[in-house]
Amino acid sequence: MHRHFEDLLEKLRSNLIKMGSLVDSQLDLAFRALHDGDVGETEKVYESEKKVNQFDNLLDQQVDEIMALEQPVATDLRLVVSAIKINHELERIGDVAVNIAQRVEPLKNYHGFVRATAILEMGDVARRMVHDSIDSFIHADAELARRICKEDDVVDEMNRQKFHFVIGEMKKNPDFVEPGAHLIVALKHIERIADHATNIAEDVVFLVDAKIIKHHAADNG
Amino acid sequence: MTRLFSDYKTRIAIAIAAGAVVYLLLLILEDLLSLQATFLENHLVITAIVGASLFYIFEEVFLSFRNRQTKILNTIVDALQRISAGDLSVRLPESGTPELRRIGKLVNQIVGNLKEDIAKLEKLERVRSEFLANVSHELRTPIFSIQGFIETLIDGAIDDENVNRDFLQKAYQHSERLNTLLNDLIEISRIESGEMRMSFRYFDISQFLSTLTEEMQPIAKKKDILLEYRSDSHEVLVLGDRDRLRQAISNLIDNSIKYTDRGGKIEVGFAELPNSVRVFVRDNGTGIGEEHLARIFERFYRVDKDRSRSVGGTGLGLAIVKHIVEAHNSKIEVKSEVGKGSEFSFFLKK
Repeated sequence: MHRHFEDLLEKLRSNLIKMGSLVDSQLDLAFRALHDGDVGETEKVYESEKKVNQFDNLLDQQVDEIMALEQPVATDLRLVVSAIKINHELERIGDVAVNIAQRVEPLKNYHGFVRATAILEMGDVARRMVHDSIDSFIHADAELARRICKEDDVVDEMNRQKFHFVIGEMKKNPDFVEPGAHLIVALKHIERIADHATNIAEDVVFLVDAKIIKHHAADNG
Repeated sequence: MTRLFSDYKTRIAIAIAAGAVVYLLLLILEDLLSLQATFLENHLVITAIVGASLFYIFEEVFLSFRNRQTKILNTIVDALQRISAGDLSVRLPESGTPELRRIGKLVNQIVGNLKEDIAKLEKLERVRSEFLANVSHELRTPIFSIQGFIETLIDGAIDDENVNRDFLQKAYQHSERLNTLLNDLIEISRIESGEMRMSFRYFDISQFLSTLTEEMQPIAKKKDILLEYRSDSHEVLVLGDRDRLRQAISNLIDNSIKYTDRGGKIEVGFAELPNSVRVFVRDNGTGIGEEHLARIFERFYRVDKDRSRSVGGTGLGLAIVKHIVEAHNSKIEVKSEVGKGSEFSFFLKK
């Protein structure tokens, strides 16, 4: 493998990690803003989103260049294919972080309700899944990636429980209808974050073990 | 020398047979060799003697070869018996047939590897027992102190208003020291067992170091030490585990504070290189003698035992730093001069 190609792959990997680092801290900012009801902090989330989008474009260009000029095969091809998919997932997580930040303003006066829903308990699991999925990519750790996939069910269950809790509160108190609606949307966003983290983990398993596990493909042979 | 056939009658029979074979061969080849039939008839006895001689020569050559191999095999068996009895100083001759040479070479390699493994295990065992001895000693010191203060309080000092508060304060300080020591121990065992996964992310080293320096200011101010962040404020992204690096650099700054006298100065910063940055923590403190430099990253190694304990060191701080830096594929470097100060540094990938 010639030096130029190696450099291109290394740059691709390094930019993907940079984008992952950015999304990881963006998510952290969004959740902290939601927890503290701090509208000022949401500005940082929007700023970060611009950078994430720049990385999205940069990675697309890099993938195009490698595909067109180097025609990678085997492991290198899997890295490039995974990069396309992980890039897409990270970009989507960045969007969802912005969506969560947008809930901070309408929920800032309902701090007690937000805390009672324990939405951040679910947020922590989802955020850890994203964090671990990025780690699994960096360390090429398929075992960790497989563990992440199992955690998705935990978030789904939490989503169901919290959804019923919010509905219950909305029924009891009409003042909670509007913040309740925002909370349900935020819950849906968090659930989506966990889905994206799972997708990244599945891509890592594909990258490391050359096995497709999404939609339980491995179970079906 | 064991003969091939020890019975003399058999030997004569074989010698005659060999002579007959030579004679028959000559008969077959007589045209080819242009020999006269009369020559053969007249020299029947000579051919028989030649045949017998050939048999003897063959036997001698064969026997000497077989004996040589037997000797080598016996040496190998002797050597293997000594190895199995635990003598690893044995070396096998790498001679004889190619197969025997290979056996000799392989056995020598196995013995070499065994010796290395045993040396490693012995070193590990020595380190482990030294570590255990150190840990128990380090744990015992604060525990004894706490017991001492509490016993004195129970024995009546609790009612003495001049000392009771002071004794409790001291017992509390020792319990804090115990806590720090246990935390460090847990930390180091987690790192060494590979249980701790590094979370590498890109982050701005400039902001990271300036924030960290700011966080450490109160401890430096207590000793009137000037703690400064010395680099540019422009964003430089590096790859590393932020939490672990925070711990490593805090340990380095903390050490500098401990070993720098009042009114001293500590500088924290980084130098940007094409593909990496060099992070440094330097002070104008007491410095470290050259003879200690190679050992300061060992667990519980102390340049000055009394001073280390009095400033509250656990003896594990630098060992933790070394592990964290090495987990970043880097190496911790130290430059120091007694009386002038020290500089610790390492590289991080950009």
